[in-house]
Amino acid sequence: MLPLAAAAVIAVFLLQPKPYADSSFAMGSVVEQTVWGKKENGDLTARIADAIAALENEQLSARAQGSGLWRINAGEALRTEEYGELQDALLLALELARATGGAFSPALGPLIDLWRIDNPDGAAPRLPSQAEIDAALSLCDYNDIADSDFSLAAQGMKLSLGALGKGAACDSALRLLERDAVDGAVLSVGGNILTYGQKPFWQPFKIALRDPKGAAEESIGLFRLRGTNFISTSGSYEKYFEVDGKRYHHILDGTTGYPAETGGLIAVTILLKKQGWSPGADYARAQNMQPGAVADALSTACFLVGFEDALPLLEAYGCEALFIYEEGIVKATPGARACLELTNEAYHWA
Amino acid sequence: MIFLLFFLAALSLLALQNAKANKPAVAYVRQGKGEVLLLSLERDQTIAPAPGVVIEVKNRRIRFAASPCPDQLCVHSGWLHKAGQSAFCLPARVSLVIGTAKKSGVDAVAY
Repeated sequence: MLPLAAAAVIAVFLLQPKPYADSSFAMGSVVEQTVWGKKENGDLTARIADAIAALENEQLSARAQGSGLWRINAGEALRTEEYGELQDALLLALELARATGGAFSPALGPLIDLWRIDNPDGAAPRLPSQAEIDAALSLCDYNDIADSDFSLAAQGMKLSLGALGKGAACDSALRLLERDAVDGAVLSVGGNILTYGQKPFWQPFKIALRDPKGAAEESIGLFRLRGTNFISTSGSYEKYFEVDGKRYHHILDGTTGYPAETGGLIAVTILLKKQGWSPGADYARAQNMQPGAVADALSTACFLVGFEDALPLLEAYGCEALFIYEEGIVKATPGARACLELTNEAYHWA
Repeated sequence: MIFLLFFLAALSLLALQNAKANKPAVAYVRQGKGEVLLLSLERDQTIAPAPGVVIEVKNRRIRFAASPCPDQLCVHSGWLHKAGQSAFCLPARVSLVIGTAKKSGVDAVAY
């Protein structure tokens, strides 16, 4: 009897899936993966890294020459059948632009270029004059994007999907994870998290939430999650510069042309639980809505509109959220609060 | 007694499993005061952390493959593969250090 029990215990351990880890560089950030699966899934992390690089370089990047978005910005009409992910991303971004009165917008390229806050080429950010901002804003109207093929009405317009690219990368990864049907996985695309399936020994996924005001290794709390989830954060702490003691962060408000004035809100974290998730019925083309892109775009949109106006958006898109304020207050929807344990004394629930 | 032995065996297997998950050698790459990039040495890849600077990973080793700097000291550092080894390109302000992925008890950090 005893040897049998011993054999059973050992078998349980030996049958656990093996972890495969990988890190690579895409979308201007680090992609870190752990996949638990069988030996034949050993190359999955490399395939996911390739898929994310392809998504960036062929579809979503405004900078990658020849990408779908680059073609639109160069004045071409998009052959949408060749650019499925780009089309889904643009439809979502336009929907959120309408829902936020243009505060969130995929058409802010001229403003982003003007402020240079997010400039990967190393040029220093600068404070533009009001005249420069007005001139850029006149080229940032999302209503000037054609519904059918996304062609641009005016010369000098420029689309950017930086607000949802990393989330869309998580969607690409999820499709491959589901196709291979591995046991479980954790993916981070520059801090945008995807959890998938099940960890060995039935443990929950443990995801730390970085302290917006602390160093990179400090966190405000710990998510314990099971199954497939997306987590995305937007905050004023990530990229910013200062002029005369005033801080200018990188999340631009399409209605003013300036970094969003948020009244003490410093970060918004979106949690989207995939199980049972369906995007709001109000939205016409909801069938193509990709959860990772939704979570990522909503983190920016909710940061822009603030807690009160974000609640109907969260409801419509089936998301939970945390709103973190300068003085350490954390407001949360019930579903987000249930998954996060605050572990940092400087933060407390509202 | 025997149960205790089973228990210990089970624990050590669990530890082994976790150790495997954290085993891959990694390199930390940083440009200026920017974010630290974590690169796995398990997979061949090249990245450009700064204009003209190319860092290459091949066969579990890493090197500066190219740099626009005049002295080329970083490129002459050659291939690195042991934990603790480092190379720098001061003109481009890029540093490269090999370490092992640290075990922190969390699966990922959201930010």
